[in-house]
Amino acid sequence: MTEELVDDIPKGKLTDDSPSLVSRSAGAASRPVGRCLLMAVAAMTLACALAVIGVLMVGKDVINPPPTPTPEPVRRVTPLEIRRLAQLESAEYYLVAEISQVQVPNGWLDKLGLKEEIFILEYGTVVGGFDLTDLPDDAVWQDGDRVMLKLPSPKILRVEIDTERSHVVYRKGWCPEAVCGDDLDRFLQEIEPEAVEQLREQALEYGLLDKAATAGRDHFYYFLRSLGFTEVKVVVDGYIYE
Amino acid sequence: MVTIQYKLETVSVVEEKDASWIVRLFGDNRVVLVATGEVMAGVDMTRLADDDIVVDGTTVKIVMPPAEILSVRLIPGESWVYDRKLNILKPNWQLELQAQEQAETSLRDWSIENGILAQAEAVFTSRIEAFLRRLGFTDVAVLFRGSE
Repeated sequence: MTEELVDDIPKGKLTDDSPSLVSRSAGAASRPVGRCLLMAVAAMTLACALAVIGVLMVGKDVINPPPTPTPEPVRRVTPLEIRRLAQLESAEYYLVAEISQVQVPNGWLDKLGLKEEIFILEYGTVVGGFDLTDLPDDAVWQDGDRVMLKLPSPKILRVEIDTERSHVVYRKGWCPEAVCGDDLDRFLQEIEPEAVEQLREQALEYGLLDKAATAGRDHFYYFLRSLGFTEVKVVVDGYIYE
Repeated sequence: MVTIQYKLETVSVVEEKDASWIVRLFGDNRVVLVATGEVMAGVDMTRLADDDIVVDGTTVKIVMPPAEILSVRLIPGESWVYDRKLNILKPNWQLELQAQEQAETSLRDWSIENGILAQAEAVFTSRIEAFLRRLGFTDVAVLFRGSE
């Protein structure tokens, strides 16, 4: 084995006392150190450059990320019920409800100081009018050019949340789901009905039903007049007009 | 005048991936909403002009504006978040509302594709015809603009 190796080396360089061999060995020892140093410096420079580029790119992304697309979901719609109606919508208010909820842990966990707060503005339309689906026979009286129409009491027909404009104003603090429960899952079950109730109450307070009654009466008055009736009387249940 | 109401159910999935990979390491924002809503369609009678009504004795002809979607709304208490994941670094609290908006769009589109407007016109026609007959008209014609 040794012989085979020795055989591979040129014969003239086998002797230990050969000056050329000694000097070459000293040069070989100093050169790898230099190379290592150079390589280390190069590697460090490269690493620094990559780090700078990375920080710049990532930093740019973190500070000002480009808009992220929201994929169009697969639409799945199931029909549950179809109803035939006859609802005359005669007045509507556009209002805003302020919903504030604070979430704190129960019992001794309260002392941990955990607290989560959410404040939401829910905009919505409250519509008032008449449900004419079951208008009784005696609601309409007609004799030649004279006609009388009795409308039922106006009511709130629907409250519609404007999801495009409604938004979470802020959400402060933090409380883990395991401790406080998942209040966001109650968003639709509790917060939305609360908003609907607030909007309904505001509409009633601002006189939506009175406006609906007057507008409905006027609507039918002019409609009946345009049908050729010269003497028209429209009565709204619960309202007296001069 | 609202003449028809569809009650529908849909599933809305809204997903948001952040542009920064560092933020993405902490997960995506995602909401799955199971929503029940109502779509109402009918005829806007305020768009009825004077010359849209022609009366001749006991004959009446009315040209109505075409039926339209009058309302789309989700029913509170009958809709719920089925699944929600929020990114720890950049949670999007508006995602539920976006999911609701998307659900409403789905319900509206589905209703139109499935003929809610034609049904609204048909129901309106039968209602107004009955009303006009009670007023003494014997010959009633109800037409809609665009389909005259």
